[in-house]
Amino acid sequence: MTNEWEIEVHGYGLVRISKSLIEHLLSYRQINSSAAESGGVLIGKHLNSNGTLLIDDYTPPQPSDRQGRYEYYRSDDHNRLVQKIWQESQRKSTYVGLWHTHAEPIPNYSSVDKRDWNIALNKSMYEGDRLFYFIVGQTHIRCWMGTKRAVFNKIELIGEYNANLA
Amino acid sequence: MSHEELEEEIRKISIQCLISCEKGASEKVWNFSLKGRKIWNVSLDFSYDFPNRLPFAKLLDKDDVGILAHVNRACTVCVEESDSIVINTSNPSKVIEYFLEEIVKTLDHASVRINQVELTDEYEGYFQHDAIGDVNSFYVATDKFEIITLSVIPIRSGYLYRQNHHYHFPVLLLNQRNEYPTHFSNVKKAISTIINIIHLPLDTPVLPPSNAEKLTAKYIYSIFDNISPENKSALNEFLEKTNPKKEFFILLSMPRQANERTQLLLQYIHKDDRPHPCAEYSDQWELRFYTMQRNHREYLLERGGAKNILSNKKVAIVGCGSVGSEIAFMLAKTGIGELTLIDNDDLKVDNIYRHRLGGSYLNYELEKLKTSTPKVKHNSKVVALQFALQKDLPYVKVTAIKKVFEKVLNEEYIVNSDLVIIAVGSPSLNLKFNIDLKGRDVKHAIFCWNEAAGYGGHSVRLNLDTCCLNCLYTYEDGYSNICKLNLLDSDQKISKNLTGCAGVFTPFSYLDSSQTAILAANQSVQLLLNQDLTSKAASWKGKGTGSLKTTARYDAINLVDEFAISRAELCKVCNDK
Amino acid sequence: MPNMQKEFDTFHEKIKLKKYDENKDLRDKRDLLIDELRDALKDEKIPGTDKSLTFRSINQGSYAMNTGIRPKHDDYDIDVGVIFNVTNEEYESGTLKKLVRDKLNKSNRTVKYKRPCITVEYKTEDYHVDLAVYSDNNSDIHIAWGKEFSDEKLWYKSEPEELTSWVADVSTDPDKAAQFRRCVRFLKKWKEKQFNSGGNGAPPSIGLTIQTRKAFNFYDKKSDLNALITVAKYIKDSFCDEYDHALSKWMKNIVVDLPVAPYKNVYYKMTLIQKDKFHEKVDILLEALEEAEREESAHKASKILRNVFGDEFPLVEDVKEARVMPYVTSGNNA
Repeated sequence: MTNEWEIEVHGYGLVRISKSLIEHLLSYRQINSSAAESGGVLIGKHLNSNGTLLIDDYTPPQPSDRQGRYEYYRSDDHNRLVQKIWQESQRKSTYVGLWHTHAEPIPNYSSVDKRDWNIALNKSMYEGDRLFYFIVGQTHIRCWMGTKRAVFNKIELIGEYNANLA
Repeated sequence: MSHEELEEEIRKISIQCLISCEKGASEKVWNFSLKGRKIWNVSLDFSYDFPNRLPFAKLLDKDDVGILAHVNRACTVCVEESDSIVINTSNPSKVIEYFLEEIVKTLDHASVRINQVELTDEYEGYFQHDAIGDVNSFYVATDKFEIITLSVIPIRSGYLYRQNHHYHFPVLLLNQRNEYPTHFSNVKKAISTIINIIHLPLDTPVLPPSNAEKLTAKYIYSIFDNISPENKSALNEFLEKTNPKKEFFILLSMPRQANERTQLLLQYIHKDDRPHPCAEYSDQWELRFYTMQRNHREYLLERGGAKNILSNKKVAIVGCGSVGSEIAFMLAKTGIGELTLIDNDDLKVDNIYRHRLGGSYLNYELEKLKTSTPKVKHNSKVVALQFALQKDLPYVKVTAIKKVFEKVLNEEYIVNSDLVIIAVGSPSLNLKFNIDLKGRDVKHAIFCWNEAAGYGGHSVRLNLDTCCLNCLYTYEDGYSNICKLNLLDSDQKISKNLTGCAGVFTPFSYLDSSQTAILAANQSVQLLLNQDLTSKAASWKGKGTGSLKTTARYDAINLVDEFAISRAELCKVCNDK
Repeated sequence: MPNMQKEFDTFHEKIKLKKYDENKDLRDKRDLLIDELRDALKDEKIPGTDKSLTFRSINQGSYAMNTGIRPKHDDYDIDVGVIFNVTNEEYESGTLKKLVRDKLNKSNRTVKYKRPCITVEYKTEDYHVDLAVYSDNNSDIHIAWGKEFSDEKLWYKSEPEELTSWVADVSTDPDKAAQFRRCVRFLKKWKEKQFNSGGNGAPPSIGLTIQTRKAFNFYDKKSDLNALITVAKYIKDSFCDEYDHALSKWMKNIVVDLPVAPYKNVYYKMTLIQKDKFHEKVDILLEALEEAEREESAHKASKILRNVFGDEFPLVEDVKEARVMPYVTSGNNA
């Protein structure tokens, strides 16, 4: 199979998601009935060539997060982690989006998720005007892209990864 | 930009690597001395479009041409452009600065000798401007010495001919067994006079001649030696049996880092007979060469590794009307290996505004029969499609089955397909096929059809192990003849009958069929690439051309809608199995 | 100046061949053949005596030294030595070597009689075994040397185990010893990429191993790249000038003696032209390594190193600096 999950985004370019990141995120899937929601930050690199963005790292759930079956709270610790990663990578690796899990096979975002993503677009600091959001379902990972706009932000589904077929 | 403005911008340049600059051979050419790993002398040729178009860069140090990667024999420096740089045309001197710095980076990188491998990788491109032309090739060059076939046409004009040279123009290269896709394009016409030539595979890549020199017989003779012992003895055996001639062709190849070998077709011409150029050096030869236009399967299907997966897949399309024929073309263009087309109808003039095929596949000629009255014989849709597809694409295998649908469902080509697409356009036939397929070993099927009068269309991809088409007709209180996908209210008279009882057709346009076909083709590819094997119903909705009553779903959905299908609890077909 | 250590580590993981104790499959294959030979010789007596002909086996080559790389076309090479309890007088070297060959010659394989060893190739398997035949000769080991039909057939003094331990003795510091072994593997990959596929004219791996071992009287804690530069410099400097009268020009020659018996030049098989080419390639290697070290962009440095070592060396992405300091809001998901 191919090594990476690749999504061509019209007007932006190729977004590449590394195999190892997918494997790590899949390990958080809520498959058995007691597993709680996990989440964190997506870390990536903005590229000059061979694609526009490579998403290849993440922050795992922190002790200060709250994890329930159908809820998840992402604490401030993620911010500290991300800034450390950014600095230690000589500003190469940075915050490019958010991820969390859902206890459903093919995930869809909830209104709570959408509010969080909009706040992230408006209030957080990042390179460019886009953030990427993964929801890791039981069988699929789906990827949405948020674009910051003056009036209404745009959030659209841009890709789907089927874990059963990889 | 005027010459004065250009000069003004150039005078503004201040970058570390710039040593000096001066006006060159013309008003729009400037020469620069740049400091990198060594001193690079470069000229920039500014077009009138500058700064909207970047200048042409040439390396003035000829000694370095033929040694440095990314500089071709015409001395042009090929600067690798970054994907994400947008030229800020409002500041031309900055554009020049950026460009000069990139040139230095390119030349510096090229001057590290280990990177010469990048030059040998682009050997064909290095000489491209010198080539007489392109030769089409179905031959796959490996590291093995072989006698291969070259199709040629004699040249009977021009200077050399008048000088009494009898020579040929190369047209097509084939392997020893003369294999090529016979139905593709007009390839057959390219094969007339056939000669045997040798493929001479060099063992290691070699550098071009130094000092930007042309390819010469002397240079080529000096690199012939670079072959493996096995190939050398095969070559010697060949040379012993070869008599002197006025013309020789040699396909020269050498390894590249990635797949594919560098290839050049060399042609040696002289007015008298001479020994084979590999046997004996002679400066009397007129040497010309041609670059390769690769036609073989691996090369054409290479782009995108995923497509190689598709080339092993088999799809059967039941129904080759307006939707089915369109799907056949779309799938063939994705690189699918094998299509089986099933339809019993002939292609008639009535079809041509709806069908993928047009008038060039109709027949107006009378067939002269001895016994009965002459009649115009129609082409069948499947045979015409098979012909059209194989003419368009070299590596798709198409089987045409002219039969009524009901008779084929048990056939091997249906059962052995990776996917069966039903595009027969009749809801009741769909439901019948659904029962039949469910009873057989077919796992994946797509049903697709149009709504009437441009109101939309549907494509339903099914994993028949888990659910079926009938599930879309099964409600909480049992079966109904109304599909959950419907965009138009049932019980409306929507069929038009223009020509009496012989030709009933539902009014919709070619564009409708294409939209439905796109849905089906996308669902097919996702399935065949193993990206999505689930059951899904996709619909598109259009404005419609009539005043027909639409359903609540019509109002509720987006222009394109897709949802997952799950088994209906009361589905008779699923429960029967 | 990126030191590329992460990339070198990834590269090393990809290319290294596991030792026997981590590679049961190859170990079993080796033992199978050795057991078979032992079984086939169980009734064999040393001529003129009633002493049974027996042997002990040793590992040699890159497995023993732990410097092996995965073969390019999955043709694994198993190097074993069999040391017989005989003196040089009891057997002629050719006679004993032929006996071993005949005992192993069966239909599922091709057995070749080569100058330094007997090679067993299998028709359907992805490996071959090189068996070197030795006499113990009262603890004064000699190798059965020479081709089957050549006059040059003799017992040749040899110290295979001493060679293995000489290489292993590079350092008592495990980090330094590990860096040494990595460097040997990197040079083998360089050789694989830079010399033509048939291996004609390439320096033998044992030569590269010995020279790396000799160069390794340092340990570069930070970077394999710097270590390799030191080794490449050392190898380059070990060449000397020699005038070639046939070609009427100055060439580069190299003589490196085995550190153990028979102390002969490890590059004895190479012609002067091949050795001159070897020098040029080392010079190109050194230039490339130094250039990679000087290069400011890790992306560009990795491109150079891929041209040195091949595509298994990881490509560093061409990353833009993210100037905005990231700030991530906290938040809820459901």
